[in-house]
Amino acid sequence: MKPMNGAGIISDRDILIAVTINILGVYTLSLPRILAEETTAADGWVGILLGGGVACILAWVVAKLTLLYPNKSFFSIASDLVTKPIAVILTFLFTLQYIAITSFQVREVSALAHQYLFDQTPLEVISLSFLLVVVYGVCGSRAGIFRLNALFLPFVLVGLLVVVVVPLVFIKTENLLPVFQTDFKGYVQSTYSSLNTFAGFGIILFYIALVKNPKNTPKMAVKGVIFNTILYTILYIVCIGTFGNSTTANIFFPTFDLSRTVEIPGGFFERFDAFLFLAWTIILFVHSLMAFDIAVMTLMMVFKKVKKIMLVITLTPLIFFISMIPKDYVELTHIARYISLIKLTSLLLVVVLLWSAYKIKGGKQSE
Amino acid sequence: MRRSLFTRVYKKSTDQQYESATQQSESEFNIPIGLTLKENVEIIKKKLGDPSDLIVRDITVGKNKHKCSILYLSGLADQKLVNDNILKMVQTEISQSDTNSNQSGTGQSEPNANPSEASQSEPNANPSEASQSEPNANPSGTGQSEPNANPSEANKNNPKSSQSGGTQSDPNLLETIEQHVIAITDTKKGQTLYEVINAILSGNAVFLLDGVNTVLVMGTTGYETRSIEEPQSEAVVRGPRTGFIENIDKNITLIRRELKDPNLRFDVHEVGRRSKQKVVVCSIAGIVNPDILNEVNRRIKTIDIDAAPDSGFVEQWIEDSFLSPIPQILDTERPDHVTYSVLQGKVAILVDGSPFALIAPVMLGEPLQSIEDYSQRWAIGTLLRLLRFLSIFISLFLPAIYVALTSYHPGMLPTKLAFSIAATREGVPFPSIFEALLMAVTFEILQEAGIRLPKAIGSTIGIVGGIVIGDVAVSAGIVSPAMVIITSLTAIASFTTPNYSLATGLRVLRFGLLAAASILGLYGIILVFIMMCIHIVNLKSMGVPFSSPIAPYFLGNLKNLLIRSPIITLKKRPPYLEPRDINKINDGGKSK
Amino acid sequence: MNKFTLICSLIFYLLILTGCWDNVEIEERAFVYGLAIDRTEESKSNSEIELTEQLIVPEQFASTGSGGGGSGPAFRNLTASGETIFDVNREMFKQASRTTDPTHLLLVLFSEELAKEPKRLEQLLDVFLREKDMRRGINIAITSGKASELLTVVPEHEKVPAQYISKLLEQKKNLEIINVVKIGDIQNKLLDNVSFPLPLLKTMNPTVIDYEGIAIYNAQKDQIVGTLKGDYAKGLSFMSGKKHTGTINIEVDQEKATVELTEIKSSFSLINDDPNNLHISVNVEVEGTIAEQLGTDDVLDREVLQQFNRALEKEIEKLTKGTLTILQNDLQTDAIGLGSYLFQHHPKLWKSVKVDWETGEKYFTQSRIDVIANATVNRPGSIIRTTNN
Repeated sequence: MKPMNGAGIISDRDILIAVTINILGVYTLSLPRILAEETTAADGWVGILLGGGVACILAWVVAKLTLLYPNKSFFSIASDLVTKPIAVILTFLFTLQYIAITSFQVREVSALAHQYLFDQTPLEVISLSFLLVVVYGVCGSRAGIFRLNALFLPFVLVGLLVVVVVPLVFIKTENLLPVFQTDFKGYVQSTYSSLNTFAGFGIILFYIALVKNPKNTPKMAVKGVIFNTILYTILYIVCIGTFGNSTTANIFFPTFDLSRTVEIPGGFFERFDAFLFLAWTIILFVHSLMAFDIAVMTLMMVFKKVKKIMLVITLTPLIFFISMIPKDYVELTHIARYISLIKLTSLLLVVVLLWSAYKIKGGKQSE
Repeated sequence: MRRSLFTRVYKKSTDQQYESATQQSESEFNIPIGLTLKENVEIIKKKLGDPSDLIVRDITVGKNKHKCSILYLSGLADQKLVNDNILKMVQTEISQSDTNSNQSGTGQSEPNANPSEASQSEPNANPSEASQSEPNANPSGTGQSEPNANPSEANKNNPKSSQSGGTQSDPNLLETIEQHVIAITDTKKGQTLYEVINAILSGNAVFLLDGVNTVLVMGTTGYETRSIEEPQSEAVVRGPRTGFIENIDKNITLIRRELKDPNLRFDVHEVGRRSKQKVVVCSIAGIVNPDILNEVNRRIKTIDIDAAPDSGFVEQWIEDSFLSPIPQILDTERPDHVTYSVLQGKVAILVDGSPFALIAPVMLGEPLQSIEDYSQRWAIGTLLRLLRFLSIFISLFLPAIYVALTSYHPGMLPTKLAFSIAATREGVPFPSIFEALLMAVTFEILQEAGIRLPKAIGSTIGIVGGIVIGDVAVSAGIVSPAMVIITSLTAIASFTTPNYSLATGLRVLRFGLLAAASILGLYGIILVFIMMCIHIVNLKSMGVPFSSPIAPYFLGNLKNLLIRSPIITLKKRPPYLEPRDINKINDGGKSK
Repeated sequence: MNKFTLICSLIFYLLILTGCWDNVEIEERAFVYGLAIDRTEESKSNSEIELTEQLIVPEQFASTGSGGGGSGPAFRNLTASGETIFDVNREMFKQASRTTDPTHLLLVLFSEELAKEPKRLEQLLDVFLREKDMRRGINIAITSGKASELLTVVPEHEKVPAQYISKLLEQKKNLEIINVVKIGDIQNKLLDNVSFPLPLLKTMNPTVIDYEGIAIYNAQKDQIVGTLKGDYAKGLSFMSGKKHTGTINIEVDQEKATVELTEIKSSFSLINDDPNNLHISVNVEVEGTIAEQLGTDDVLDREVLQQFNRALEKEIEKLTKGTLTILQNDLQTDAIGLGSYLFQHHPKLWKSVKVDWETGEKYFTQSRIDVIANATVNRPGSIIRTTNN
């Protein structure tokens, strides 16, 4: 009856978009600061490139792993490779992780709004209204989420392009000098920090199962990571060029402040941070939407009979309360670091575990 | 998703009711026609409530002076046609058969001569009538299998009837009259009262012969219709000036005239329990995706309604989500728009009595395209399209952004603009949200009044609204001049939308955005914007995702969505419709 | 399912309808356009400051003047004193009928007196960078004399003093004027401990403000250490290679002439990298047009042109030498960005001299700085000469 694009099944390109958008996130806002702290002048780009490279390899491995069992969900792959109880534990691990990510994003959006838009509007209102919009999105179809990604991509790209292009006139090349004066430790640290921001590609572990024709999907996932690497490098260089290293290291969200520094004289667009706020809210929204969706999805893998809407209803208050736990911004920044750490390690853990299980069982499986 | 599920369940439940209801009404009328002419006429009169416009003409035919009657509704049937091609023919047949009987006495051979004489005697009348009856003939083309079957039945019945009653007329007489006397191409035979009454109500003339339980139904429908005029709701500077009218047969002709494709298909449905309207689904076999066509046909079959005065009723019955402010089916008055859409692989729905054809499925951005874009040079077509996107953005967001910026984030305005707005708002007694609502509602009232009033008085509204409210309200200090600018800009921008339904739908959203802006400022606008996007991606039109041109398909479509690239580059039909034949032009004309 | 949506939307509306927290109508805001910070006159504690806010009166500001109703000034100055700027701003609420809104702040003036107190300027700058409503593009200037006085100067051309001053700061056609200093730029310099110049303004009469010279901020001492005026200011402009143009007076054949410079480029190069014997050369390349000639030389003559060039080079070298002497000896402040140059191009050397650049060993003071000027007069103007005698 429904002829088109069989619901729930997505294409390669959707994965590319999803990975691209999902890697962008709150971390992107503060990434230049963290890198600038660890490196001198503009040397942070080395860290970004290295981090991006490592992330590419990881993304490739994860994608390949899921492709061993095409169109099978993570849970069924895991229960096939490592017994069902362990699979349940692993799946729950991811559920918890993605619930935490959603909560964090929900909280972060109000932090961002307080930073740039509001003074007195209560945190709860900003977060809750955001969360409810996320819930509205999750209630839609999963294919719809991917369509949403594709719909939002132009806004995000245009937003970021504006951030990058407009300050180009204001860049002082002397801020980028000297080159390669960072010590080895700085490079390692910056690589690690940037790798953390790339952890968003973890979503492919769950979404590849939905791809219609998954042959090229690993390539697409890697392309998404590469795209972000390039984007981050440019962003970082623009940030350093405009502010200088020490200022970048001392601004809370350097990427966002870029737009506030530059004033295009004359016309209506003298101050264009409004557009950027749109882009960032969208990025945060998509990020939390997908995290929420994965949380629901992983739960549905385990509890097959529960209705999606019931899960959403139960998770929503939970996420809201979790998001209200951090007391201040210091806790929030700590949590940000922990979350990306957990994101990365859990991904690594699962990949290593499943790969080794596959290798051990490998002989029997190949028929 | 939830909503469309909801509608579907709802429709299914009513589906059954509908079937039982129609069965009831049919059984009520499902009486076979009797043999006695007088009784038959009486029953028909009774069923129709003996209307004054029902014309019953009793005549006798043949040498045996068979009684017969011609029945039709005076306003619906073409009286000239009835008089010249039915009554006159039958009467001449009578006189000729009389003379013929005197000459030869054999009744069998007579009729063969008659038609040729008849056609010779009135050569002038026939062509004109033929052209008149042409639109009538077309719809019956789809139902032609029925009349073919009828004569054989009639032949079977007639011998029986001739055996049962001696006083009855010659069983072949009706056949003879149909074959040789009546000068009308579209004839059918009916055997039930239901058929006959329906035929009369549709403007057909009915020929009853005493002693025969078969009735001859002749397509004489011809009533006054509006002449073909330029469409009012979609005016173009360059392009065809024809618009649909209220007569579905004429509308079908308009489409046929533009597309001489043998694959052009019209699936006929009947809609309206009481109105019995004809609804036609128009598509091109070999282009249209059969899934879409079947879905449209299926949904039209579920319609259960007394009458559909306009295609809007049909639209609301078959659209995917009736709660959405965005129309999922496009309405157009222009035949060229219909042919263009049908050639894209879409489906058009024509409803009798409505000059608005429906086009489905419709995708994001398509209501913003005017068919005129293709008539103009591509550069200006592209600019106009971009302009329309800009104006839809203005008409949706401008008042909300104004409220958000003035009452929450004046820091985002350019410095001097901020000061000017502050200066204009000095002394205005209302907060900006209230001011915006006031002006928006005033504008809506003006617009509504302008539409409802007769054209002559309509211009007064412009003066009262524009000068009195705009100018005096400002000088009285009730609203700020900036707000008047915003409101009028919004209004003008909303008029650039080629599709009226979309423009009206978006009016609702504008108020939602205003509310959000007044509560959470820019953040609120962004959230509502995201919600709108979520709604759009979950919306479907005839099962095809509404956002298809942008997501999942992307770059390939932009050349016909955001911009209007040169005609030769538009080689393909939209892929999201999954048409049977994707290529419009095979090589972009390069081989020439 | 529908109940869920209903409940959700109900919660949403309930929350939302309780208030519009940050809603302040635009006409209820008093936009701060300029700020002046002084030391309090009868200062009780040393740290107390006096803040003058210039608030915009939009009605007067936006009026085109054709109506004739525009009487009264387009601004309103309020003054209060307290410990910190933010605190004083709140103090101001007691005087202003409207909420002050610093989102369109254009200009901050510090009195020289205040800026000469160690650490004072950087402490006061914090709020402008931290506060979310502030932009990084706020102009900064130092005033000799009381800063608040400048905010009362109303010229005939502009409606608001702050606007007048900021346009003055953005002037580019004079060599004594340095590039506009924005708060955002300063942050990086403060963080990197780099000294920098600031514009210095002075009230001349009730309707005129004069761009007096350049105040030099020493990053090690965290205070204004001195000023450069007149020719010394010009010398600084040559070395820091501004995008400015300006005029320079030279003498050719004992006759005065004025050259309008169209382009100034400067670059540093390190000649000797021994920390105790640093030798840096500053290459200044200028292009110019003869703007005014009091003599009667044939400007088409190559010889004469060379004379012009050489005179120009000599003049530039003289000017910069003078500036350098003051900077190196009197002020001991690297206001031309040599330190940044060393950091960017010779990071290893910089590492060893960084700590003792301006203080301690005073490498900056000890280093030898040569200026090599290279001037080209490439346009003679429209005529060759005015008179023949």
